[in-house]
Amino acid sequence: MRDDAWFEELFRAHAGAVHRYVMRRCAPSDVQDLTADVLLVAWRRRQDVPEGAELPWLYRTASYILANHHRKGRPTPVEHLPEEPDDVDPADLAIVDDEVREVLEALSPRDRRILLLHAWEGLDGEGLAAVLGISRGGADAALSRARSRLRAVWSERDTVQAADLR
Amino acid sequence: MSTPPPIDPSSVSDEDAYVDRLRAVDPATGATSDLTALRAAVAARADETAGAAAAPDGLAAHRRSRFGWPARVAAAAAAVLVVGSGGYALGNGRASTAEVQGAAPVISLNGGGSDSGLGSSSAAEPAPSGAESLAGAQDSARSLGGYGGGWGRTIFTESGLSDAAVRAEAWALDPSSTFSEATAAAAAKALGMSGTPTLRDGAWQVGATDGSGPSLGLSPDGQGTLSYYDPSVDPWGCIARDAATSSPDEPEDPAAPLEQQECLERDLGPAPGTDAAKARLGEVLAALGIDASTYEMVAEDYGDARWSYITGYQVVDGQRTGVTWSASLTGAGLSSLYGSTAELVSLGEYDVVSPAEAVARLGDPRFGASGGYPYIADDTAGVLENGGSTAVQPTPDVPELAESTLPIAPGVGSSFSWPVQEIQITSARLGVAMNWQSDGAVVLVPTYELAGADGSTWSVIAVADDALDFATVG
Repeated sequence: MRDDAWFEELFRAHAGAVHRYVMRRCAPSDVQDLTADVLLVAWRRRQDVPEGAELPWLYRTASYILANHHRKGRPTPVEHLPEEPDDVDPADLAIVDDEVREVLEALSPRDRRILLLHAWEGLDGEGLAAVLGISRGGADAALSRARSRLRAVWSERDTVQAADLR
Repeated sequence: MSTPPPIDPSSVSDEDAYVDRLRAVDPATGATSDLTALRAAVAARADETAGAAAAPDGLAAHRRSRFGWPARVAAAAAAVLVVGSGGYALGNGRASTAEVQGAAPVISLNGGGSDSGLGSSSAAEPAPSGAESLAGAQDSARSLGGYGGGWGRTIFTESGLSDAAVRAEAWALDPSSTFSEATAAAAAKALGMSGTPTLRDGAWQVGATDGSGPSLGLSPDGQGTLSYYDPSVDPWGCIARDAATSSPDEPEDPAAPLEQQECLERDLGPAPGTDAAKARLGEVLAALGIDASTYEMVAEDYGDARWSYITGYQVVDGQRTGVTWSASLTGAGLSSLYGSTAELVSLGEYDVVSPAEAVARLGDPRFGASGGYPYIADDTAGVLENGGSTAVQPTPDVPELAESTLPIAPGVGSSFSWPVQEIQITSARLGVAMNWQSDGAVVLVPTYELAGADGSTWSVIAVADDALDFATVG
């Protein structure tokens, strides 16, 4: 039976992590609003929240809510709807390091999402698989590919810069 | 500023180095989570959906009964929204008070390039936390947009508005003089913290970073955001079970600490009253050299004696700027603090368009105000199920039809339904809205709040084209 006490526990255990997840991915004015949305969805869909994997479920829900939020006001051609929830827009991030921002922009939404879940939420293995909704093996492979593409983007950048200096 | 680690592309461990570099720019570094305010925000959301379409058909009561936990503090959270919309005048016997009265609510505009202009039927404003001061308006907008229907394709006309262009003052927040070790140290001292500030990943930090005790952070953002949270005086706070058991040799997993925390609701006794809460916030502001008299202090009675919550809204020329300070207190002391240290500086007067032209802008895609935004209600379920690949559709929370009705196929040559909502704007108010520039700088830009004959409210930037840089960022 998932009642008030269940939600209290969910809130206590995970609200801080969800808050940080959202804080990392949207404008400061929207953080509280969107975090509350995520938690309210958890309350409404409490029968669907997997026991023992609550946090990945919350991250996953947050990614869709953030993706919707980023998309609003930006007309999206219907024929190009992305499969991958693009829940972070590097242009909006309060990142002081412009190089990192540009590298993030150069990555695909999926690689970006995976790398940030790994770097910021500290996810890999089962946790990453649960957020992505894929198998453990698939998540390991996806992370490995994303890491190598991250390296490739940096390397290409370094090469271009080196060429510019010549 | 921390220096990113040097990267050698030929190194076998360079993938790790690149991931480390991502980690180094984690925007949540130094930030704290005000769980008490978040809790109230969840409750507010529950109450909105329960009450937004409060029809006399018992539906609202039915919806309300569906909510358990959030609704328990929903009445209190609703008070926050009332405070936001009225600014100060509270009815219903609620115990909220304000020392500075009469400031116009801040106007909600495009935030950080991620918000469209929003239709709303009330200027309801702040959620109960500083940085989220624009959020309430969106809540209200969304709930009404969702339930009211007709959003999406909207045309605007005006009636009786002036077509005279005027000038209005704009402002910027300048964090350069306040983002400093001295500010972090002064705040720490005022909060009774020991320890000296350290610069970590770009943010000044004092105190615990693992949730085991009070922590303070001063973020390198456009507002010079200062946040403080002491889990030990939060009745619902999580205290790390044993911070000492975490080994520095193990790779840190930011998701893990919460799992390992023990969360117990504790009895910390009754929270201080309104005046004491205001005095405490005033003390902290004074220690930071901030003139508390320029803030409209609003205390909310959440109907829970265990904590009190106070928000200071910065007011300039009778208009809330969107800059806020908020604090929550419990019987054991100040539990959280959140606010903007940046200095408000005038940018001088700018040409602004006339109210009539502002209405024309509502139909101009450059200003992003062509449609309201649907409310994320129960229908988020649909978003999750379909992979988030379509816009959230606002399905009004109406009783299911007793029996299914087969749709009727249109006849040959019949027209197709393509509903368009027409809104007649009948009044305009020129104020300011907080706006995030592409580099994170925060400005207060002259903005119109436009009221429709149907009770809806819309916002659009008022600055004339000449002073707007339309160049694509990046």
